[in-house]
Amino acid sequence: MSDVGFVPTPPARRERGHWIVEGLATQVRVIGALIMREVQTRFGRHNVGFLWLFFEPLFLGTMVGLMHSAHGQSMPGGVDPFLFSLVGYVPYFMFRAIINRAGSALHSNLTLLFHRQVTPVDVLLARNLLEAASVIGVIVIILAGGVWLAGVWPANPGLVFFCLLLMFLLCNGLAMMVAALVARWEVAERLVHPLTYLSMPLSGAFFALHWLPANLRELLLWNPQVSLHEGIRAGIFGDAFPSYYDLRYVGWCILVTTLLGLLSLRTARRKLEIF
Amino acid sequence: MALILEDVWKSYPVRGGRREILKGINAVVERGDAVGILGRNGAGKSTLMRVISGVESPTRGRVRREMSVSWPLGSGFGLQASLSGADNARFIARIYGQDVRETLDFVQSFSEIGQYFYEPVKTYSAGMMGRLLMGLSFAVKFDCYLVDEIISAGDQRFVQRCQTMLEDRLGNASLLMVSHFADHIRQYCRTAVVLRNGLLELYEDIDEGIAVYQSL
Repeated sequence: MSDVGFVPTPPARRERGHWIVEGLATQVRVIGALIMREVQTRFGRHNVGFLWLFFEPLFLGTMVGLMHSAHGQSMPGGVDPFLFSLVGYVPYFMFRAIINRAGSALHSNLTLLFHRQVTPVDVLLARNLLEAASVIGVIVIILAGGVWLAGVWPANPGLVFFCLLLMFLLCNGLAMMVAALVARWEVAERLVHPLTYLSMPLSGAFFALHWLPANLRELLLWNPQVSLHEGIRAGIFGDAFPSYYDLRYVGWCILVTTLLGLLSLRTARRKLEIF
Repeated sequence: MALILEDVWKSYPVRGGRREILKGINAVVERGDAVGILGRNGAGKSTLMRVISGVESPTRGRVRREMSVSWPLGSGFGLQASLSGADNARFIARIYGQDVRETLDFVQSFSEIGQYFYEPVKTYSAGMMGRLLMGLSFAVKFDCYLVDEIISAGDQRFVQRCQTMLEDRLGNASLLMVSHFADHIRQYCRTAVVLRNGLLELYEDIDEGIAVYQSL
């Protein structure tokens, strides 16, 4: 064996801690690694690369905002129509991005599931965290822009970010359910896009509940998304017009979707065929 | 410390019912064992590897892993084709909680694929893919390596490098290897099993196992 050449020594093995600590640390490491690789595959390593993460929703939101403000309709409470549609559209962008991408999440990461510690939940969580980070970053930019350019301070920034957090959790639960559904029936994938598209007018992203008659308001509030959009607006515009939201109800919805999502992914994992 | 298969069954849904691939496999792999798995195409060798590694769960029965088991090292499994070898090494280092720098150095030095280390994995030849995969898995120091055909594409120098690595480890590590090349099985393994009709037949004498396989 003279032609083998230099065979290097592999890195030393790590010390292992208690299994609870180890399990948690593994999950954090896996999600971190998945986020890194998601950034690499989606945005490449060239030029401004990952800045697209923020630029894309900001650009789309600005365009939608400009279109709405060009209508010239006046808003109740003297609210700026551009800002109104911007803070409606950008969080909605998170919902659509997370739900629409959920169906393909497992399939495009199938080869990574060859590593035992990478679970479908990690794959979805990593993707969704990235989307949420981008939207929360964009909201920060928008709010900062509002303060800097127009001197408009958000009435309650804490409420805005709390609602965005709830929005992420809700989307994450739904995304897990969608991913599990698609793993079982591939047709489901084709239904996701039309359904998110059709649900857009029901999301509460583009209008204030205050504009609607009371009975319609009650009906729409069954959709937890509506409460969140109202909450975000309340956090930004304050008392400029009344807002209607029920975050306790949203909390229950999150609990139910998350539990159902985890459960369905768990059963889907067994059904998932890898090549 | 062993790898134990207890009455492992695996079936897949196919048109008009289910096809049984594994039909109640019992086996114990101890530390230091080096087992060649032989069988015809479609016998279920790769399925067995996936079930052992835990990528798929058995339909019935149980796999007990008392030692750390690698992912099945086969063509591109566990790699991301659009990323470079180096990025894949970083990913592996992160998910297995290893030092990224050391892992990169080791994989690059072991795999000897030169500048291709920084090119997307999808541009690799089968041989380069094998070099990268073996480098990655040796970097993690598993107790048990599941090698699915991947060494077969390597040249003689690479086969010998793998062997040096494994000999270094054997006594500590175990090897389960699927290959259609009798020579490779002889080089790496000490016992052989033939997978036939969903069951394993063990041959302590490796030549006997190979003879049975060749008469299939």
